[in-house]
Amino acid sequence: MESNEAKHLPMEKTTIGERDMISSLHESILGHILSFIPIINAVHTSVLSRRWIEVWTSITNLQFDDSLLYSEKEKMQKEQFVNFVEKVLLHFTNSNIKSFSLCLNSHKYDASQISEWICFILNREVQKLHIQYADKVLLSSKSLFSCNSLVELTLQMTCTLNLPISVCLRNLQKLSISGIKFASDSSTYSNDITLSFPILKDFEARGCEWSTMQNISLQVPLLERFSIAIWNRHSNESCKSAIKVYSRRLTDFSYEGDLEQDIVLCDSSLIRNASIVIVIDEDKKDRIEKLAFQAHNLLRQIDEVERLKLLFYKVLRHAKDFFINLPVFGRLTYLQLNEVNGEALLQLLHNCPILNTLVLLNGVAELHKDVFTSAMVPQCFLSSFKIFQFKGFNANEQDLCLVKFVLENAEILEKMTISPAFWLRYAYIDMEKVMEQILSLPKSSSSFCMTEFSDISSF
Amino acid sequence: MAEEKSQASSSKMLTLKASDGVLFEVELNIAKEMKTVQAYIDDCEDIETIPIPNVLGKHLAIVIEYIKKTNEEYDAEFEKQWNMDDLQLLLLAANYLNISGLQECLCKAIAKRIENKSPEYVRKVFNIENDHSPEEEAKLRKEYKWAFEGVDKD
Repeated sequence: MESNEAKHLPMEKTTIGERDMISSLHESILGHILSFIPIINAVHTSVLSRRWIEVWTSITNLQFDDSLLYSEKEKMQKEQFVNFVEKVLLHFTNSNIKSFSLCLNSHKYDASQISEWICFILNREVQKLHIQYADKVLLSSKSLFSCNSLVELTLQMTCTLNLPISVCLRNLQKLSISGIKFASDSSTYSNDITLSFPILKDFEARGCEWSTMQNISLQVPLLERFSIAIWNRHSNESCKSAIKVYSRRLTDFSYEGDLEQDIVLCDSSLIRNASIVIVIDEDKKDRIEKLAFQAHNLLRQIDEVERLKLLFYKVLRHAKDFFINLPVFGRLTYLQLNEVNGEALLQLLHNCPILNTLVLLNGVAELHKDVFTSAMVPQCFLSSFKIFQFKGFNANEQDLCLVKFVLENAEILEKMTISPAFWLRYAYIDMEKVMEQILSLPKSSSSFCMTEFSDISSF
Repeated sequence: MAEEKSQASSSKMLTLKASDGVLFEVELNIAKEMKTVQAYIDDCEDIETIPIPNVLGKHLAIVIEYIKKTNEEYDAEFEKQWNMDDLQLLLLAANYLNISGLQECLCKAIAKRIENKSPEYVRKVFNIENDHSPEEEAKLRKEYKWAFEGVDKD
């Protein structure tokens, strides 16, 4: 049998002893080992022996982080670091780099310097690219969007990318961007800008600005997870482009923003997990009027979810009618809310016929006890509601009213957990007595097994 | 379950003979993870004993065990059990037998043990003879002074 480069071992030896076995391996394997150690160590191996002079240039993975302790337990000075990166990159002019990571947290650099490095890497058939830099970078959209080798792309930096009418990265599977402003190349196009990522599975965009005149069409047939956070602090444009997501496999959807820009999901039938965080800018009075309408549009698109987290900030203050025309969430079993009032809560419970678990993160605001005295019992209380977590419990009459309502009417409730609001520890309330009161309330569920009071030990 | 030998390839057994004569009986699907062995079988179909001249019985046993048990948890604990000598010999074995999963695991393990160590330490651990002349080494260190400057010797 043809043996490859490994040497023959005499039968008696069970240890390496004096032999240099490792150097007999092919350069690509040695380079692979060096890919897992810091670059500076890899460069040092050039002095090991003649055989090892060039081995470090076979590494396929480069990671630069200017906050690491490089020498004498200190971070590198800025000039030293820049010089270091340049010198390393020089050795890769004719080779490919599979994975490149650049984390710049310690210094502020010349924008064109960083761009030069990124451009260099984009021409090396890079597959995994990770760049993290809090300051400005001038990045060429052309070189980024023509880098077809990209499989994973993470960009956390401040830059403007001009989008051409059509972009395609055919190997991209994971995309995570933050701080990028998208503008369009030309203002004359009326068609959508198409971003095509045929095998993308994960999409995440946080704090990016989508300031194109045209709508954005995301062609992502295999996309499973979509997450977007849009904060439009600076722009006052009234006309906002919509982002349309074309995927038939979307299962996880996450939105955080002020609803100024429409997100259109072209097929949301498979979405099972969703998180919606709505933050309102109270200064934009004209926007607030349309708020309920736009929020409904979003919720209607995800009405087949099984797990939903709804986090509102100031919504109730400005859009009291929000909860009136909610869609019915026919598959929802888990619901988490952070801001809700008595009527809203009831409305939601009525619209979730098979709800199993309800989590209130901050209790209930403005709860009028009359709301519950004549309320109709929600369907889910009779057939599916089993777990109730009441966090931010205020130990007042209204909250007790809600607890009473649940215990009296939830016929198959199994467990209730009550966590007092943090400020209660400064109030003069006899928590023991409150707990006793709750425990003695009548329960309609025969399978009810426990009431748990958590975070109460500090009282 | 009947113990009879069936024709199904999953229960066909193969014998691997290590360099020190130790014999191992393995199932065909285990042996096939070693691409070198697979090539051997492809060449001569009805072979029953395959010689593995470059790997000691001790290491072949470890390799076979790895193939049977490999998963994320196992891999994480795997590398902790072996000293540097064994890791190197295992890597040579994995390389010869062409088992990519094991090779990857061992490359990472070896890397872990030499990271943040000086060249002197690495030479010792790998038994590398420094065949640079003093002038050559000085020249290299000067060329790469941007990497050697101010670095601790450990």
